[in-house]
Amino acid sequence: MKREEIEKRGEELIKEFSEAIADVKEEVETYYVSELVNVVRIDSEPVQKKDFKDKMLKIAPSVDEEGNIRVEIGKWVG
Amino acid sequence: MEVLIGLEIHEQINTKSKLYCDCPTNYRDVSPNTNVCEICTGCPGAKPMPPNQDALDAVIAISLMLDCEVLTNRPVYIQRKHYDYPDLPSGYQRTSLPIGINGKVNGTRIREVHMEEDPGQYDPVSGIVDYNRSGVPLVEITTEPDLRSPEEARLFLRALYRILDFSGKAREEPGTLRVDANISMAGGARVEIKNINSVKGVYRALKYEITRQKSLLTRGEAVRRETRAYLESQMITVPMRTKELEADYRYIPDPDIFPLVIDSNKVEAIKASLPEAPHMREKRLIQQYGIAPLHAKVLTSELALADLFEAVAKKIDPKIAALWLRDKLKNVLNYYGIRCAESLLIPEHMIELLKLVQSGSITPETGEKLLQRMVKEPVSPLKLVEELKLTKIVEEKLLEEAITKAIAQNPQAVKDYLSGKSEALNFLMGRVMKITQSRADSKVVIQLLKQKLKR
Repeated sequence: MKREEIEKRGEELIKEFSEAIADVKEEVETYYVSELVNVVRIDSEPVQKKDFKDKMLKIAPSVDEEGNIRVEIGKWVG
Repeated sequence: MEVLIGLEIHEQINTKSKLYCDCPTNYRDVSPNTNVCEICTGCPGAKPMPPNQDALDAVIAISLMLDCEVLTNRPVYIQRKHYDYPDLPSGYQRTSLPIGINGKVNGTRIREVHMEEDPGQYDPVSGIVDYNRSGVPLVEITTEPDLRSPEEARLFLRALYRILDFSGKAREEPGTLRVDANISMAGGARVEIKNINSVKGVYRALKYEITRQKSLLTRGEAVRRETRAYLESQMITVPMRTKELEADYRYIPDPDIFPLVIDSNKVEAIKASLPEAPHMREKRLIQQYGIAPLHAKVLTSELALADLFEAVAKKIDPKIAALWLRDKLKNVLNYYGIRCAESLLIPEHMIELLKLVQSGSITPETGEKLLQRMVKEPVSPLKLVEELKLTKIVEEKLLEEAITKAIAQNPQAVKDYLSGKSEALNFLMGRVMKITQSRADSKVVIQLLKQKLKR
């Protein structure tokens, strides 16, 4: 699918969704977690998860030899 | 043209583990993407651990040191702030509702103090992403737009940095302070400059931005509401994106984290254990040790320097200690571009050095040279003096030899001195000091030089 078609379809979806929820009344924001508070943990000796790094880098889009993930450069510095 | 500047300051909090997981926080000491787990890289389905209590206590302590009211006995929700950027793997940053409000530093009003997690590191120039930093606890401090110039912003940041340093809660490594600056001028929209990494950077970015906006407004053009990036290498700001509004961040309370309710008794307990504020310590040093106000100001510019002074002043005349730390040590630190906290100088070695100078075993010039080494390695000055044979030359014969050599090697300076140019004597003294490797007493050298040149 071409970019223009995707954008057009996206706009249509937003429009349809907006129409579908047009009649939904605006509610006061609800916070469901209200009973239990102050669940914290004491700062303790940290743990390094040695296996996780390899797993993460395996699914990264691009990785350099130092273990950095490579993504696109900032458009504003190009 | 009136300029309004407000700042948003982020400083890392010194904890062992991250804010919502138990990964280590020493992200600079390890190779890229090592201190990471499912939680701090936002893997689908990974739930955060409860917030780190020490980070929360640190934010409360910092709020109190900034003269803020700490919001007690009401729920403080941890919110998800959504935005899209390569350093934010989950697509949102967890940030608390305000913990402290309405503070003041140097006459500038502090609007709010929050606790939040640091994103990872993304270098827009190379496209490199490292998530080691992702999840390190931060304190976020926002000011009202009370600042009117880059100079005021610089003074404010220095004062704020001093308080954070004295709180003992912030990370000591340099470069942990990051600032976003909001700036607007009459007739233009508000512009935000993101992620400036130093006080100097803030000053330069604001200077540039004021010039840019002034020039647009003078030409009758509009200043757009936008977010700009500061390019440190070029000392300019460039457009990044159009400025987000609060609604764009789509804040929602994080459903995985229970709200925090700060108890007023807890706040009182933290208040009772707060360290001495820098301005109070400055006053105390003047009163307790009888040192000059200017010395006290410099000594309290950094917590480690103030601590070092008080440790040394127990064994050495405080006025001499203050003079050496303020002048000689600060010079050496500035030369290396490091802070006292980063140096390897310990109080025992500084005391030893000053005793050597006071007893006349070494010259002040030798002391200064030793200091250059002592900030880089934890070495006893006494041992260095013995090893390198740096004791002061007291034998007049050796001094005479050095003076004769200096005179012979510099006939023009001798001629100048004899024709009335008194500064030539200082030059000759410098040559003698070089020949003797600064082991000669400069006062004695001057006397001997004068006598010799009279003959």
